[in-house]
This record gives sequence, C-alpha cells and structure tokens, in this order.
Amino acid sequence: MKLKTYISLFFLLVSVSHNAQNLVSGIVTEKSGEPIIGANVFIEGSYDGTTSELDGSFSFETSLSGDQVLSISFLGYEAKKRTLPVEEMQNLIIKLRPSAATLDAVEITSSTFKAGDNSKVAVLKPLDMVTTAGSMGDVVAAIQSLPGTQSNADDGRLFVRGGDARETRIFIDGMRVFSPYTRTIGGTPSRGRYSPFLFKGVSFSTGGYDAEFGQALSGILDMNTIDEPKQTESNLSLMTVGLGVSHTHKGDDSSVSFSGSYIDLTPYYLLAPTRLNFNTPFRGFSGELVHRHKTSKGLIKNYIAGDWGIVGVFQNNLDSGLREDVDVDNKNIYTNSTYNMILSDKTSLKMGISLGYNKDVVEVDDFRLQTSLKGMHIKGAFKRIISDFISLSYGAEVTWQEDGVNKSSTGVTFYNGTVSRYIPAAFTSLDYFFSKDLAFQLGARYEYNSLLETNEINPRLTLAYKMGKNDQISGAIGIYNQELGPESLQTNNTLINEKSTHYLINYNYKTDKNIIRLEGYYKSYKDLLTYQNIEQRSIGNSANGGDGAAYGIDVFWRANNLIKYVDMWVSYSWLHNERKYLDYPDYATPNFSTSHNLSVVTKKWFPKLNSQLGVTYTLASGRPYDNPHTPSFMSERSKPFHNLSMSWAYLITQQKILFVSVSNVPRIKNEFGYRYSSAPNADGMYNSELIRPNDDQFFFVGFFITMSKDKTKNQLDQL
Amino acid sequence: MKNYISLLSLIILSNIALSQGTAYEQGMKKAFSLWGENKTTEASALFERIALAEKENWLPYYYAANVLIASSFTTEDKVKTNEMLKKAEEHIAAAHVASPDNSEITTLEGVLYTGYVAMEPEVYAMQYSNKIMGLHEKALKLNPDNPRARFNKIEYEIGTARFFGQDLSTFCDALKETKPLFENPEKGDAFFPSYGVERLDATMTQCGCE
Repeated sequence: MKLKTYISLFFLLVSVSHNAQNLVSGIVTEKSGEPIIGANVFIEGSYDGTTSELDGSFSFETSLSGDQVLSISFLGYEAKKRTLPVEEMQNLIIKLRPSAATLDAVEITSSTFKAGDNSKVAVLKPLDMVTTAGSMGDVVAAIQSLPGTQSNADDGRLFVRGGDARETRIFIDGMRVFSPYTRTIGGTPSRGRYSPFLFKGVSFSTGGYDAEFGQALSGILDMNTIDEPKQTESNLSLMTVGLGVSHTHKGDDSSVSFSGSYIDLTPYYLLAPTRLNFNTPFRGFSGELVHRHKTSKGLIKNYIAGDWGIVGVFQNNLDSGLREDVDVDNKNIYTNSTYNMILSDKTSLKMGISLGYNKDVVEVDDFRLQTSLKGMHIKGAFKRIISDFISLSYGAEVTWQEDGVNKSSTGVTFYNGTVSRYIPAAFTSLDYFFSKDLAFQLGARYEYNSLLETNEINPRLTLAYKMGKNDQISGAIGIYNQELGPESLQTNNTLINEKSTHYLINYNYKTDKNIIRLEGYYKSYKDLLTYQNIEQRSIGNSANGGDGAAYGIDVFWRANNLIKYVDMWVSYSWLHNERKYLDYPDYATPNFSTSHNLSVVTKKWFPKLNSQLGVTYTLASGRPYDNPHTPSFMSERSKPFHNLSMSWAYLITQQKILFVSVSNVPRIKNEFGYRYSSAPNADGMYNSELIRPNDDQFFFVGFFITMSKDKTKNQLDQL
Repeated sequence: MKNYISLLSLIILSNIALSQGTAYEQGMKKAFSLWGENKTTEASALFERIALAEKENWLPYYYAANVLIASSFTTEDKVKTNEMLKKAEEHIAAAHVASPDNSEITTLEGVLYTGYVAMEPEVYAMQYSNKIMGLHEKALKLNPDNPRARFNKIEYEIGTARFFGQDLSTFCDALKETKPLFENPEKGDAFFPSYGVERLDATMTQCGCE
C-alpha cells in the first residue's frame, strides 16, 4: 500500500514536471532593429534552446522554472546573458551589438605598415620581406619599398619622412636593437644585420606610434621572430658572395635553430668591376642562435647573434690630394630574451631583456677612431582586456647605454671619452571603442634621462572611424623625443632632448584584391642639435638651437592577383623637408632627403616553369648637396636616381632552388651629387669629386638546398 | 520503508539518467540531420548547446567545430570565414579540455588551420603549413590507425603538390593503405567520428588512382 502511494506520487511528480512547460520567446535584433537571423538562444546548462528565425524571432519550450540564465550569441556579435525567472522570458527584445573584436572592426594602428600573419592590417605578406627583387634578403631594403621612406642607395639605412637614420629605432620582439646596421665605408650601403628568415613579420610605423615606443623622432621598425619553426631541417646555401649553413631542431615544446655564414667579396670583385679601390674587400662571419620554449602559460624566446667583419679601401682625400688607406673592423653581439605569458583570459604580460655590444675601429692611415657601445633594455608590459570595447596596456622599461670613443694618431691617444646614462620610462594606453566603427587610443609616456636630468611626458592620441565595409579614416597626434647622438653627449651635458610632434591623417581602403592607403602628415621638430665646426673632426658650441618641419603625402597601392599570378605594389612619397640644425647656416633640405620617391614592386609566378620572376623599379628625385662655389646653401640637386632590379627563383626540385638577382639591369649611370674639399685650394676653388655608386650593377647567384625528413619542404619561402 | 525509499531514488536516478541520455542522443541526431539539410548555423548552434550542457563530453564540441570548419571552406566572405574559424578554435580548445590528447580533435585542429590557409594562402600558407602537418603527425602518434588523421595529412600534402604542379599519382599508395582503416570504426560512443571514406574515394579519383 505504502509502496503504491510512493510510486503514484513519483509518477505524479514526473508528469507534473513534464507538463510544466514554459514558453520562452522574443526577438533578437541589432541596435538599429534589424533582425539577427540564426542567433543561438538557449538556457544555460540545458538542452532547451533554438536559433532565431528569418525575422529574428525565437520561441522554445522548457521544463525549467525559476531563475535561469538565458544566453544569446551570434558570430561577430557580443554575446549576452540574462538571468530572470523562466516565466518572465516572454516577448523579450534582445539587442546585440557587433563585437569590436571582429575582423571588420575599425583598426586603431592606422599609420603602421605590417607584414605578416595578421590579415587585418598586413600590407606585406611574410614572403615579401625576402622575395622583393633588389632587397637581396635584407629586411630593411624590403621596407624601403614602402611609402614614407627615402631611399639612399649609397647608405642603405632607413630614412623616414625627412628624418635621418638615427630617428628610426629598430626593435626585435619589442626589445631595442642597439646597432642594427652593418658598418661600411666609402658609399657601400649598410644592411640590416639580422637574417630575414628568422622573422615571421614586421611592424613599421612612419609616425604616430603608440606610447610603448620611445626614443625615436620619426619611425619604429619592430621585427617579430618566428614562434614555432616548421620542422627539423638543415639548409645549405652556396652563393657568389659566400656560403651559409643552418640547422633547426624541432621538439615538442622547444626548438633550437642556429645559422652561420661566411661572406667574402674577394672572388666577386675579381670578376665584377667596381669604382672602389679595395684594399680588403668585405669579409666576415655571422652566426645566430634561437631557442624557443613553450610553457604551460606562454612562450619563451632566446636569441643571440654575433658578427665580425672587416673591409678596407683606398680613397682620395680631397683636401690633401693624397690617397688614404681606410680600414674598418666591426664586432657586434646582440642578445635578447622575451617571455610572453597569458595570465588569464583577459590579461597578458610580455617581458624581455636585450643586451648589445658593438665595437668599430676605423683606421685612416695613422688616424684611428674606435667607438664602442654597450646597451641594455629591460621591459615589462601588461595588456588587460576590460571588455570587447575597452582594453588597457601599461608597462615600464629602462634603457642603459654606454658609448665610448677613443681617437688616436700614430698610437698616441688624443681624445678618450665615455658617456653612460639610464633612461627609465613608463607608458600606458587605453583603447576605447565607442562602437565597432569608431574608436580612439589615448596614451602617454614618461621618460627620464639620468645624464641630462630631463623629464619628458609625451601624450599620444589616435582616432579611427570606419566609414564603410572596406574603408576607414583615422588621425593621430603625438609628441616624441629622443636623446642626442653620443658625440654631443660626450662633450656637453647641458643639452636636452630633441623633440618632434606628429600630425597625420590617413585613409585606408582594403578589399581582397586591392589595398589603398593615403596619408598626409606634418611633423615639426624643435631643440635640434646645432654646433659650429671648429676644425676638421672637431665641433664646438653645441646647443639645442635647431628646428624644422617636414610635411608630405604618402600613397600606397597593392594589387593581389588582379592579373593572375601577379602580385604588385606601388609606393609614392612626396616630401617637403626643411630644417636648420648641425652646422647649417640656414634652413635647408638635408642631403638624405629627396622630394619624390617611387617604387614599383612586381612578382609573377610561372607555374609551368616552377619559377618566380621579381621586378622592382625605384626612382628618387635629385638629392640636395651644397656647392661652396655658390652663395646659397644646399641649393644644388643631383640627377634623379633610377634602379631596375630583377630576380629569378627557379625551383629545381622542392628541395633545391636556384636564385639569380641583378640590380640596375639597364645599367643606368646614377650620381649622388658632388663632394667638395673642406677648404679652397691655391686657386681659390674647392676640389670636387662626383659621387657615384661603387658598383653600377650587382649580381647575385645562389643555390639553396634543404635537407629534411619531409622531402616536400623547400627554401622557396626564403628567397 | 528504507528499502522503498532506496528503490524509489534508484528509479528516479535511472529515469533522469535515461532521459538525459535520450536527450543527448536526440539532440545529436537532430543536429546531424540539420547539418545534413545544410542548415549549418542551426546545426552548429545545437551542437554548441549540447556541448554547454554536457561539458565533460568532447563530441558535441568536436562537431560544433567541425560544422563551422567545413562550411568555412565554402564561405566566400573573408570576415565571415574568419569569425567561423575563430569560433571553431574556441570549440576545439574546449574539446581538448574535455578530452586531452585526443587524436580526432588534434587532426581536426589541423583542418581548422587548413581553413585559414584556404582563406588566404599568401598570408597563412607559410605560417601554418608546418603547424598543420605537425598536428596531423601528432594525431597519428596518439592513434596511428586514425584514418582521418592519415587522410588529412595526405590531403594537405596533395594540396601542396598540386600548387607546385607535381604528379599526384604518387599519393595513391598512401591513400590505398588508408582506406581499410575506415572500415573498422572505433567502438564507443555512437557518435564517435567514422566519416571520411567518401572524401578519400573522391580524392583517389582526382589523383587518378585505380
């Protein structure tokens, strides 16, 4: 009897619960009232739910009752959760707003050119860094095909928007590189020291960069190393200029790569003509070691690179009329370690340290100049995602640098100086999205310089508005500062930092096939270094008495596959640049600054021939130089500079590649203006010499072999 | 009296277990049939709802990801494709938590990155190719007889070979060896993956295998 009661009670309970179906209903729309079709609407922890209909409406039954969590989500929208009694879940109106974390949201870092994996902002693809004809595997040379740079073929370093090479700082994984370029002499272009094969992408900003970066008046180039190598493999490169080997071992959580190369231009110059009169053609060793380790929370990367090189030439001294023997010996070591870790869903931390050591010895006959640099950079930065619409970054860093100079003649030192300083800094920036289409970034950076005892606060602001599906407009304002070069700091420490202010406005259009960017900017300088020439190789009266301004327009157009298998981009920069600094008697356009720069890069893949052809054309208008025979300063202009480079990569098998590259195919006779003696000769005239490239043409042939277990891999991506 | 109560609670518990079991099965079946009708949004939403209710079970997450990845290959809009793949990434991460070191989830993750490569080969091919191969290899280490891991790996190699215009018939032996593995599906959950032989057959035809 009792059992029966219990059993009927049980069935009663069960049937009651089954009968107590509650209807949940409502509509899902956008803010504007547009229905959202296919949104997932359900009660958390249950099977009860549905997807919204064509008109955005939904309804389903549930046996649950009381307070429950109703979850509403749809791809590309911010998910919503509502807790309320099931009985009240009727005729709900749920408005979702587009998530700012989606791919088509407005992009804040508008003035930055990126190469790499982030298709949202990348204008160059990872391969482009190495397959651009004429770049000869130099990251910096590939970057010079972007607008905002002035190409100086006899220098090779990065010149951004009228700033000199020192005004653009180079970083690896966010950590400062202290001496990024190889040391050269006699108009031979420098190269970036670091192998492009190590990097998965770069981020290049020609203005308006955020508060994380300081000590740069004009530009930032941040190169990101590969997180995870592809496989265990060995590579061998045989080149007309030397040979290289590399090996990568890939384990489950960690990997090690090393590469080494020996470059010797002696055999090349036995064959090729050059204007340089070599005493010792360039030769040197370089080696790199990368170690990466995945931890449960993040990724540790250790990187060490070292190189040693010598070169010597004979050149004419315009003052004495004698032949000088100039020799350079350079040693460089750079190391950095970074740790990126995810602290929680919303918080990440990156920290790192870099150390650099560089020593140059330049000998001109009996005169010897030795410069040394020791540097250290330590940084830690947090990023917190507060919501889909707000994120906050903050961090601190300290840079220490010691520069030494020793000048001697016939073994007797006549000048010796070292200068060292700490630059601690703190930075923060806030990204705020009003909506998916409108956002700003507000940042500030504080810096102290222990030598100059200066305090700087640099505010920075970027605004971005997305006008349509494919285009956006943005503007930025920021204040930047940078300490003077070590030469001036050594002689006078009452100086202060040089400063610049950037104003820019940018229009960006992007579809699958086309990327168009237009940017106008104005950059003003103040407190630039001025000095007087006392005698040769010695300066005096240095002060922060200079100023100037650069303004211009940068245009970039990239077309992918507009023609089948053809990839191309065009960059044009117009620049007006005048400043009064150094020993300039008046406002003038500096020698490294050209008004018009054009580069056209094209690449075509020929599937039948297993080959890629690359053609790059660059044009720079005449370079300013000063003719002391004329009364006005820096008023002369050289002939425009043209270069047409071609490269051909042929895949013999997937593991063997032949690569041929030739610069200045039409053998145009380029000129860079004239150089003059520092004092007039007996006839009252200055001795002069036409500056021409050392080599009218440079050719390169390389044969690359990959050895790996997996035979389908190759080095094509390394060309 | 005590006995009655225990009996009663036993009945209730088994009843609940049974009803949940059927709800799971019904839900999964419903989701598969939606998928079959090409209602991918609904199918993936339902798999996701089941997954959230059955957090310990990797299969609903696996299929929620699978639906999105499969339809990403036929979606033209890049923004949409990217959103689908991002969401699939989340599901795969959740599936990994529910079942660590699972060969099926690992090889599906390889297919997920193939989705990015298919979307924008110029951007992602270099970045992900080795990751993709690595994931398939890892899946094979976890279960050397997983036919999907084998096939996915071969299929990616075929894609690369096709790009370089190479002879595809060299893959026939590997494909042939994989086929019998599809015939002995793993026992366990009724919804354990057992699909893929049709794609293998189609690929064999494309490669000109007999």
